[in-house]
Amino acid sequence: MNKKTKHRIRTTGKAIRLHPRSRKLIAHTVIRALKNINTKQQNLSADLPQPARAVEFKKLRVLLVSAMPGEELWQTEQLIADQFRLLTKEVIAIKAFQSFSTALAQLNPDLLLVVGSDTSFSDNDLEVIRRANLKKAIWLTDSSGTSSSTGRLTALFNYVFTQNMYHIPFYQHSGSNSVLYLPFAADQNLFLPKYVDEAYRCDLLLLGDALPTGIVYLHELSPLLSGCKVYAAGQGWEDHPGIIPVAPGAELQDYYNGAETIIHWGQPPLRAFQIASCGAVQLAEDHPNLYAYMNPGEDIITFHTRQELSEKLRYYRNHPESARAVATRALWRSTYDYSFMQMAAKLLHTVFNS
Amino acid sequence: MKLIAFLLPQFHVIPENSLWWGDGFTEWTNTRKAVPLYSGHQQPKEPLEQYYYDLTNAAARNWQAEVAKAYGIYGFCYYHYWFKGKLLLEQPLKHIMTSGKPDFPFCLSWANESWTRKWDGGEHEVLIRQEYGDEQDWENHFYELLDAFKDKRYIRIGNKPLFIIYRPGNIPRCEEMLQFWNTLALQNGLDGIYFVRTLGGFDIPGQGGFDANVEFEPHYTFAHGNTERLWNYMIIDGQEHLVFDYDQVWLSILSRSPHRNGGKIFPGAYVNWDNTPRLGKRGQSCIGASPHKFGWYLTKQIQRARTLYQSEFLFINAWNEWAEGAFLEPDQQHRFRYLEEVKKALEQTGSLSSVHSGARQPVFTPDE
Repeated sequence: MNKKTKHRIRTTGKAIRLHPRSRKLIAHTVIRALKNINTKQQNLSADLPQPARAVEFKKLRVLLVSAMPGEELWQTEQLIADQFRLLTKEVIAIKAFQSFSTALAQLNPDLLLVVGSDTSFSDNDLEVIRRANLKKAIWLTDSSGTSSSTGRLTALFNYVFTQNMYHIPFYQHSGSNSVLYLPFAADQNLFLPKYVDEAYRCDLLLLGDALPTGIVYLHELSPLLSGCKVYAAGQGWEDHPGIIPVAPGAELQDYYNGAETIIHWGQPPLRAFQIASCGAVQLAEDHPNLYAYMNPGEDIITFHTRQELSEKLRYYRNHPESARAVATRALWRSTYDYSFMQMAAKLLHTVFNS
Repeated sequence: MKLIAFLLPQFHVIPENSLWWGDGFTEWTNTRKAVPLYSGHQQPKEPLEQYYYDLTNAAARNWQAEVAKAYGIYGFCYYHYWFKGKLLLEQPLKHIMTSGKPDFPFCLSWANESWTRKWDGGEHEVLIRQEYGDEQDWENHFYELLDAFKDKRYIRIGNKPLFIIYRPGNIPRCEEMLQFWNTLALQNGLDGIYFVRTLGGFDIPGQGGFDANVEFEPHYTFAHGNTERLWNYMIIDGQEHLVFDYDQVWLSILSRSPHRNGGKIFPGAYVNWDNTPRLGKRGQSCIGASPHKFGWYLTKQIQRARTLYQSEFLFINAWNEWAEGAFLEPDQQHRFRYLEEVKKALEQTGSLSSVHSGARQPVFTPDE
């Protein structure tokens, strides 16, 4: 075998063998081309806007100050602290006791997060917060309303998180640049699907006051309620025939679990989350708050008018699998989409990475 | 589940306290003089219907037991004071022994600390020093307690009377002393003594001879709970006052590993903590306590006691530590709410029926 035949290109078989000079030439060409491509890409990417380096949450220390009104939300406070523990390096959770702001200097956190309202701050504490040079956020418990003092309080914080979309313009007007709608999620330790006693069972549970709208809805629905057991939680239901009022202040999770269908109006979004977390079928009066985290028609049924309510109630009664599918999606999303974990993550993302 | 509440007998006059603190001193003296130090600080704590009882009064002792029984408390653990032959605050127990009343389970915890002007069991400004003897003192001490150990009301495990020692680490030759007592117990018709070490707010050296450990809260958490971030201070009139968060201590209690060198553990619970009646601003107070929270946490701790610790006992601090804010007894602010939460916790964990069958409904007015 002479040298020429040795380096001849073979066209048979799987391998294609090239002359060494050819291989060298091709290799150089490819390497040069790749170098050019990389250089061009580098130059090209240098022209594009660069994303800020994301803050690693697990390196953050959070001072969580609870200014929750009353005792109603104490478990929510614990849940919030727990979610931030999962997401960050350290959470120091304290109550907004007198001169609590000394903890700021003591602990030097990356984030001061106040959860609650403006009930218990001294002037001195407010002044310390105002002067503090760190990221400051407040997650308000303002679902039922807000006030001018809350507005003044929010102006001390870089980030304001509200339970009600309608409050956003007010806080912005009060001086807060970054205001976001971020409702509390349901406590899944309390609100979960479970079997309940007969005492909690009903065909329909109405959530909301009798006046002004409850009566209107009830009247519209009356042709559908014959033979139904109907509970109502809210004010003013005591004297309505056929309605069994739920005791004021009663914990409602068992009623949610015992109701075949729940209709609610004029309620903060937390209630929709709680019902969803029980896997119950709910028809909610339409409200902009519902659209931020839920998808009406998919995981919650909404209505705009009494006629629409009546039509939808009739429809879903006749299509129980559809109603069940909506409730099931809501139950799923309670865990994976609008849980406290997602809310806490969103808060951190807003403060540190947006 | 058997809930045992620590009971302080310092609600009667003794000459020593009168000498050290002034005529007629009792724990109520501290309780009454307390003042609120900051906004929301609830002081003074006042017993319901101003029932400032005297524990040398049989009606008071019976009332305590009746109320405790009605709400599902299984028994009391009375503090016992023995200073190398010297007894203090022993009169209530002596009355209980001689009268046979109340008919309510009890056991004893030897609070073997020096008494100090700071109420801290330390070594400064000592009022009476805790000292320890040898075999003769051990024997005297044992025979002082033998009647109680043999009492049908005394709480036993495996037919051994349950005896808690507060600070065994301070006792020289402790293991020998326990063996000595066990020998005496066998000689006196008992099957031995069930010795329990207190896991409290101090160093806990390894010592043999103990059958179990009891968590004394919140002190155990203060000292061993990895809670370096727990304490905060508020400035009151230019002075620092230490505060801690009620929920954080409970979180620490409920997150604790059940493993401690293979030893048996009786879990603990605490009602609240506020020793400003004794120490004013120099004391510590707890932010955020409430009956509802206590009930919630107690329910969880009962579940842990049963499933995780395989314990039939859970110890609550306390029945009547009024000057430390740790009391289940009814007061003016919450009335019977803490006790109602105890009962609810027992009901929710399916533990109530096994406690006291046929207990009377809650009572308040003591039989005078």
